[in-house]
Amino acid sequence: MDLNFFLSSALNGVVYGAFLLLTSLGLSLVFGLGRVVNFAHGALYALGGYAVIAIINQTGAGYWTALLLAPLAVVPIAIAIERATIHPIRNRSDVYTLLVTFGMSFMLIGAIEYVWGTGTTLLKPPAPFEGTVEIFGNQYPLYRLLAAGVSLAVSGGVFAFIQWTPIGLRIRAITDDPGMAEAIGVNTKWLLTLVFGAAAGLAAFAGALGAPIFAVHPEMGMGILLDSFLAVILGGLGNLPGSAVGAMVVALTKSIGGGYIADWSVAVLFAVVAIALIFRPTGVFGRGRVA
Amino acid sequence: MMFGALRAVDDVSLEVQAGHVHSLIGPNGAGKTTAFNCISGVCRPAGGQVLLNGADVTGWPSHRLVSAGMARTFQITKVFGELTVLENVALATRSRMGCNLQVWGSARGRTDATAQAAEILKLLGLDGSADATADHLAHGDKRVLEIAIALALRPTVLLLDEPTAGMSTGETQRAAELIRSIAQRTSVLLVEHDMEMVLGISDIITVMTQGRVIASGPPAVVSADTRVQDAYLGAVDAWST
Amino acid sequence: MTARETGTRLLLAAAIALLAGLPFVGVPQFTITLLTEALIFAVWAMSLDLLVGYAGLVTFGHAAAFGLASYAAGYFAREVTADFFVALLVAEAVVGLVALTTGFVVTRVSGVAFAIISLCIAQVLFQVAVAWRSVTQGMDGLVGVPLPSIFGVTLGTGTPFYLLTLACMVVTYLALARLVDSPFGRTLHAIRTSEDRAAAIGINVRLHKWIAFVISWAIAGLGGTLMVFMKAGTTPMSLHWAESGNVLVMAIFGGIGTLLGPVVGAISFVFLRDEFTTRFTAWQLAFGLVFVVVVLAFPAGLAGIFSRAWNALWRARS
Repeated sequence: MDLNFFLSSALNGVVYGAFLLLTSLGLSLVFGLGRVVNFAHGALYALGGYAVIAIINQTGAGYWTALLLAPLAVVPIAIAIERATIHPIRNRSDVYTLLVTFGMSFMLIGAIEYVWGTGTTLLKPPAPFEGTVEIFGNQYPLYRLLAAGVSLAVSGGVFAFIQWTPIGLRIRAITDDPGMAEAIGVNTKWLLTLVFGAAAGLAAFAGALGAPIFAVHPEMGMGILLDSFLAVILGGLGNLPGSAVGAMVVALTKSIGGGYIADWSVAVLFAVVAIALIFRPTGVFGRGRVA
Repeated sequence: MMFGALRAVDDVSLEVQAGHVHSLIGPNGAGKTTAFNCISGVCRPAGGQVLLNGADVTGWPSHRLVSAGMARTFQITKVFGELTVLENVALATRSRMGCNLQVWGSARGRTDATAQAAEILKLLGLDGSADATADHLAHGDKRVLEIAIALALRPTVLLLDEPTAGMSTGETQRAAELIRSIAQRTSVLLVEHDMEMVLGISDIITVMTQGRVIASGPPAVVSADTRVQDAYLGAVDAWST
Repeated sequence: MTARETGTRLLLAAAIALLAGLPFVGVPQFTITLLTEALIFAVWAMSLDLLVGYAGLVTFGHAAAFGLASYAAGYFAREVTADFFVALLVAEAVVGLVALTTGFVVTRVSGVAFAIISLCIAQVLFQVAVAWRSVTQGMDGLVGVPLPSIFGVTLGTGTPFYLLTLACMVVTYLALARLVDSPFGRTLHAIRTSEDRAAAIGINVRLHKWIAFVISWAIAGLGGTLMVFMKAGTTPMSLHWAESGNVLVMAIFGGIGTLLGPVVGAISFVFLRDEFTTRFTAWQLAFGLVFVVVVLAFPAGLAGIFSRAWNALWRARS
C-alpha cells in the first residue's frame, strides 16, 4: 500500500469528518444545554437529504437554493417534535428523552419510507462542480472538496456564534452549570427548543449538502448518528471543541483503518470508545459533563 | 475508652467520642459539607485521614464504610419512594445481615430482618405508618425515616447531614429529642447551620468558618467564645443581605 | 395467600394451559410459528426487563446477548452436535464469558452513558460478525443449523419446538419472578431508585449491577439459542441496533418492571408487526408512533393498564 493510497484515505476521512462535525456539534449542544440525548438526530439528517431532492423536483429550484431551503423546512418539524415530545418530560430522568427520541427516529424513518419509498437516490453534483481534480495521483471529485469546505466554514460559524454572541454566552453558562439558568434569568425551556431546532437545522443542512456524495436512503442517518455519538463521547458530552476533535478522530480512524483492515476498523473504533468512556467518563479530550 | 473515634484532618481536625452528639456547625460555605463528604467517603481528601475505631478508612467507598460501622443520612431526602416505610428500613437490616445477594427465596421470608425493621420504626415513632408508601409521608416523617434507615445499620457512628432542614419548629423539636435519644446507641456527628438547635443537644460543638475550625468544646464554652459570636453573627448578617 | 394472589395464579395457569393447548385445537401452523417466535422474544424481553425495569439500566445493545448466543449455539450445533441442552450450555458459556468481562466495565456507569456504551458493545459484536467471515460467513450469515434434539430425539419444527419454547418461557418467568422477589431483587429496586442511598445502606452497587447484567445476558442467551434453532441459522442483523430497539419496544410497550408485561409486549409486537407489514406500508411509522405515545402517556405500558383494571376488579368485589 503506497503513500498515495494512505493520503487519499486520509482525505476521504477529512471530508467525512467535516460532515460528522456538523452533526456532532448539534448533538453536543443539545446534550450540554438540556441533557437531552437526541436519538432522532440521524433521522433529521436524512430528512435534510430528502428535503433537498423534493425541493428541486417540486419547484425546479437550483441546487444551491434548495440547499438553503432544506434546513428551513426541517427546523419547524424539529421544533414541533421538541415541544410535543421532549418538553413534557423534561422533569423525568434522562433516559426517557432517549427513549422518546428513539421512537421518534422510528417514526421519522417510517414517514420517509411512506412518502418517498425505500429506494436509494444519488443526486448529481451541481454545475460547475461535477468534475474531478488530481490529488495524490488520483482523480478526486471536486464537489467533495467544496462540500467539506462549506461544512468546515459553517462549523466555524457555529463556534463563533457560541463564543461571541450573548445567546452563545448563555448557552455556555448553562452548559457549565444548569443552576445558572435561573440566576441569570434565562428561560431554559424555550432556549432548549430553539437550540434543538437549530441543531436539527445543522443536521438537515449536512444531509442536504451530502446528498450528491452519500446516497440518500431512509436509513442514511443511522451510520452518521452512531459515529456522532462516538465523536461526542470521545470529546466529552457537551464539550464542543472536544466534539470537534472527536469527529475528526472517528472519521479518520474509519477511513484510514477501513483501507487496511476493512470492517474490523469499526469494531476497533467502538471498542476504543467504550474503553475510553470507562476510564474517562467525562470524555477523553478535556472537561465535559459527567455522562 | 475511645470507641467510635473519628478524625478528619486537613485544617480541620475533630474527634467524635463514643456516645456523644458531636456537632459541626458554621454558616453556609464554611466547609462543613466538604468535611462531611470527606468523612463519608463521597470524595477523597487531598491530605489527612479518616479513622474509624482506629482503622484508616480514608476514601473508602460507601458500602465498605457501612460495614465498618459508619452510616449517614442525606441533606436532600433520599428514601426509596415507591417502597413502604417498613421495606425501606428492612432493606437496611437485610443489608446489615449480608443477605442482599441472596437470589433465591422471598425477601418477605426474611422475617428476622422485617422484625428488626419494625422495632426501629417503633423506637422512632414511625410504626403507625409502616405500611404507607414512603413518598406519601409528610416531610418531617421522611427525615425521620432517613434516620431510621441509617440506624438500622447499627453504626458505631451516625453522620447526620442537616437532619432538620426544611422542618417546622415543632418537627425540629421532635427531631432534636430523637437525636439526643439515639446517642445512647451510637455516636452522632451532626452537621448543622442552626446554632440554636445544636446548643441544646450537643456534647461537643465544633465551629467552622471559611474552611477552618475556630472553636471546639462543650456548648457553654463555645457559645461564650467571642470569636464564635463575631464570626457567626457576622456571617448571619452577611446572609441576610 | 390472599384471594387476589390465588386469582392471579389461576389466571396465569389458565393462560399457560391455553397456550399449550393451541396446537391441538386446530390453530393453523402459521400462527403457531408466529407464536413460537413471540415466546422466544418474550424470554428475551423478560431478560431486558430485569436490566431496565428492576436494575434501572436502560440498554440500546441487548441484541448483543441474543445474537451472540445464536451464533455460538448455531455454530456448535452445526459443527459438533445438535443436542439442545449441550448447545445451550456452550452458548451460555460464551455469553457468560462476554457478559462477565464487558459487564465488569460497563456497569461502572449508569444512565445515558450505560445506554450508549452498551450500544457500542453490540456494534462491536455486529462488526465482528460481519468481518470474521471464516466463522460467521459475513453478511450471508450462519446457515445450515440442524434441527435440535433432546436426549437423542430430534425435535420437529412446528408443535414440538413450540412446546419446548413455551416450557423455556414458563421456566424463565418462574425463575425471574422468584429472583425479583428475593432480597437480591429488592436490592436492585433500591439501586434503581437511588444509587447513592443504596450505597449508603451498605450495598455494593457495582457488584449488584454486574450480577444483574450477567443474569440478564444469560437469559437472553436462552432466547438466542432457541431462535437459531427455530430459524435454522442467523445473520449479523440479529446483533443490529434495530433489534436492540425492537426488544426495548416490546418491554416498554408491555410494561417494564412487571415481567408479564414484556411477555404480552413480545406477543403483541410479533402479531402487530405481522399485521402491519402485510397490510400497511408504513408499519415503522405506526410503530414509532405507538412507542412514543406509550412512553409519554403510559409509562407503565399495557401491564400498567391491565393491572389497574385487575386491581379495580378485586377492590370492587371486596
